[in-house]
Amino acid sequence: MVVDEQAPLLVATDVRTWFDTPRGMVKAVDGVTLTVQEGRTIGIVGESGSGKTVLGRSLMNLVFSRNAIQSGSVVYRGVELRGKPLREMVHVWGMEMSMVFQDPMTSLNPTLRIGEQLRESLWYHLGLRGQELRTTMTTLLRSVGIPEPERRLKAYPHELSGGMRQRVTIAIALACGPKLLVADEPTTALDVTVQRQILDLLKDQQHERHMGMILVTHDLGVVAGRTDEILVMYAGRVVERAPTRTLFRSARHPYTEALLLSIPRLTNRPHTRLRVVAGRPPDLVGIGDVCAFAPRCRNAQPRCIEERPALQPGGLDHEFACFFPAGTAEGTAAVERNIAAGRNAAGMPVLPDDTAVVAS
Amino acid sequence: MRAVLRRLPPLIATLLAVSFLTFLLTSLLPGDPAEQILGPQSATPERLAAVRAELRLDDALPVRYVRWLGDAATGDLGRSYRTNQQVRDAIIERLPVTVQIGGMAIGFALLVAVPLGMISAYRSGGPVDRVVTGGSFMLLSIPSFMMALVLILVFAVNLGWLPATGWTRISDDLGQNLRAALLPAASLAVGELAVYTRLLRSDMIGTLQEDYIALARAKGMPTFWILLRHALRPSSFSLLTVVGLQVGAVMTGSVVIETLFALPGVGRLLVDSVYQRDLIMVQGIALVVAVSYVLVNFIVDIVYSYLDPRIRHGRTAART
Amino acid sequence: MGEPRLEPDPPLIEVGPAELDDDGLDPLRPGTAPPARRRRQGVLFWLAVGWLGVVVFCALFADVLPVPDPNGQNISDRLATPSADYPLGTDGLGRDSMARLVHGARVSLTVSLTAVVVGMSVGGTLGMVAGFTRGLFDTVLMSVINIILAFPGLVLLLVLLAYVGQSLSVISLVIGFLSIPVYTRVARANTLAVAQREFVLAAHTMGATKLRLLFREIAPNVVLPVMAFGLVAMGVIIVLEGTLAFLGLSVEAPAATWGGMIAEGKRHLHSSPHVALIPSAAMFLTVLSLNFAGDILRRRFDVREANL
Repeated sequence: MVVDEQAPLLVATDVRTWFDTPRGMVKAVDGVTLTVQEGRTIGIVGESGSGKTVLGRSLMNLVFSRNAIQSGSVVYRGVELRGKPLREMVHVWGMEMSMVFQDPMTSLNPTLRIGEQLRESLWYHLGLRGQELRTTMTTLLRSVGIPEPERRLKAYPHELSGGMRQRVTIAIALACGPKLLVADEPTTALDVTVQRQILDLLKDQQHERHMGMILVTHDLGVVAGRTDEILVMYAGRVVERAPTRTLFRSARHPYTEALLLSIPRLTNRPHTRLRVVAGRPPDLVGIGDVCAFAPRCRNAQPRCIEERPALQPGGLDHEFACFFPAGTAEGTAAVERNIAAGRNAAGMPVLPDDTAVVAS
Repeated sequence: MRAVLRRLPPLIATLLAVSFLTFLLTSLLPGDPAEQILGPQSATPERLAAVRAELRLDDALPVRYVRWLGDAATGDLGRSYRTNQQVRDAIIERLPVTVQIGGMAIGFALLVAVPLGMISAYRSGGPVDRVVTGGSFMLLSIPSFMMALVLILVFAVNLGWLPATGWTRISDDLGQNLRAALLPAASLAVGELAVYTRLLRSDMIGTLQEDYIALARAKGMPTFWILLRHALRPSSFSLLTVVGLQVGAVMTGSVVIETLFALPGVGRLLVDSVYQRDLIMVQGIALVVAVSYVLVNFIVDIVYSYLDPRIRHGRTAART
Repeated sequence: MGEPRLEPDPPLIEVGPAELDDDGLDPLRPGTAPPARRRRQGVLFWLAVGWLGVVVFCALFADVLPVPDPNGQNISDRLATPSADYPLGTDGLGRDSMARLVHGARVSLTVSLTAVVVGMSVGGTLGMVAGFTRGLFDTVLMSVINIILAFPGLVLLLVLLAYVGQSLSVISLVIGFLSIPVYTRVARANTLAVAQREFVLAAHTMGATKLRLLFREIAPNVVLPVMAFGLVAMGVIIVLEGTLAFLGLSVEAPAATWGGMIAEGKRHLHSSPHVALIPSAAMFLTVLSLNFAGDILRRRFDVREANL
């Protein structure tokens, strides 16, 4: 595939992935735009059901559902991936872009040995054989931190620990030297102690290979020190986009603010009540052209349930989709109005600030 | 090896129980067993006494059972009073025919079912799948003898390519043997084919939803590779188990098919013995059939647990 | 409380893959069937029921229907093709095929119905009790069942017939008896699944006795899948009886049976194939309808259908 080396690694424009189900149209991804540059890491943060996993797969052009309706453009190094036939995509996956899945126990084939699964793409894409193939595999395994690689090659997935398995999937993803790596909740299924090792591993590999990376997660802690830019997703839409530091320092979208506030801190007094984001994740069917977060938002005003806020710039490289953003005059006034009225425009009860934010 | 040893006790228990049941059948008879065994024509008082003495029919049931079992274990299944032939010899003579037809049937069925099942699973909901699913559903409703008749009508009567009856041993003429075996095997294969296809399709649809298939895609592996290497292997294990279970159905089918095509197999022997009320022979055949079925499934079980890594290391799978 | 839940207008199944998972992510697989296909399935279902109705009607009213004597031979008219006099032709002995078909329906249905009723009532009860009480009874019963199932069916049937002889009632009962193990398994599997459901637990907590639990909570929910299975089983037994008849081991000739007709027709395959093909078609359609209807009902009702 002929690519443009100068172009940004990935440019996604107004990506939509809808699923036509008996219940209605599930708008899992509803208009997402992002850019990934070489060597940079983008974090995509959202709850379950926010559409972040579907987004990851859409960006990789890996959605095959018969009832999936996809639109928008995904351009990899100047080459449009949407509409590419399967036989061409086969050479993009693995070689140019690659994915690490959430649960290594299910993403590795339990009936095949590790070596067999690692060898496939090397054999097929790079044409490696014999001794060269074996050496490449052991080197690869060693580079992801697996000791005694020769022994592991003969093992089956269930004979390895969780962390080891995830290292293997990372090795598989990196095998053919892709330039873009999408990691979908790579540490969620692992022990906390192992999580950090894996994240560090990903970071190291990214630096070494100068790859672009997309890190999808629900955990703000994961993206905190490891991403250059963060996209916050809610109900299939991007509600805020900012460089990492900026996001943590001055989040503007009420959802982001709520997420940040809900992180328990070591410095809290004992028995501090945990703050949660009130309400439940939205049903992705039938949201309509309104703000999806309004039913749970302390700032929500009538305008929010009539119009859909678009992403608007505010600050250096900082975008958010909100009419009454947090930390602004309009936002603060909106909250006060709601507290006075006792509820927000969508009927959710709003109490004075602090700890009394309890899930309904 | 440990897996084999672990399974031996239940196997032995099952074999014993099965053999006991088989033996019991003779004792269920109303009336005089000696008379039944000889048949009305030959039932003269002297011969009745001779039979009673030879088979020691006056001994207690458990004693007779143990003796019978002991004989059977050493290969002596008794002598038929109708044909005056050793049961064992009669069966051994005919076993190759039955095994050949049954084996060919299963072979044909697998040969067709595997690609069909894979394709309809991969493109499930599509036109190919609908045809395959509808087709196998219909095939399931066709008894083997009906299929045989249709095949005979087309290939033997109308086209004249293949014989409708008769058998040639392999040792005599391979070509003729295959020609004679083709229609019977095909008749049996059709029913098996439907079962295997349905099973493989349904199993593979489940397998194709697994994450490791998505990963294989994300690696850039081409479709045929994913289907054959990643998807077929886990699904083939359930297929193997079902093949083992279906051996019973194949044995059942050969009874009719052999009679229909006039093949000298064990199935036809059974039918003929039933016609003639040749009880010793029937009992011997029943034992052989039941034991083979149990043994086949035992072997399938062992092979399965040996091949499927998830089972083989079952104990370690719990570790995360 | 223990009522089986029936939606007012149940959607009939789509013969396709399982439901889409919430994520909608199927890397290699498409989604559910469109509504048009479901409607088509509905039509086929009622066609099947319709055919079965015809067969039952024939079986019930065979004697009073205006068809000639099934055993009446008109040698001069043998092997006639369908015509005004003989709507479905005649067989090798000049007997009217239509009449024989109608009377044959009686045999097929009687055998299969009796066998299924016997098997279901005995096997179903045994299985339900075993699945409910567990313990020694369950273990022993299942071992015995597994041993009986170790015998390939037809073989066992033939063996038994060799010993007990042939007649309509005997055959029906023997087949029924032999099918008990399968129903036991189905009933037990369903009982195990149902017994764990909340409404059973709730009734138990409210102080219902075991017997009451069995009859009021569990039985209604087990009966339906077992009956759905019974429909499919009827098809199997019709084939079984047909096979026996084909081998000449069913009800004694000259009684009209579908299998017997097919066997008779085999002799004339080269000259008059219709003699064998017509009863074959009848048997095929009947079994197909039973399979289809039973399959649809099984998918709707069976709690653990995958585990049969």
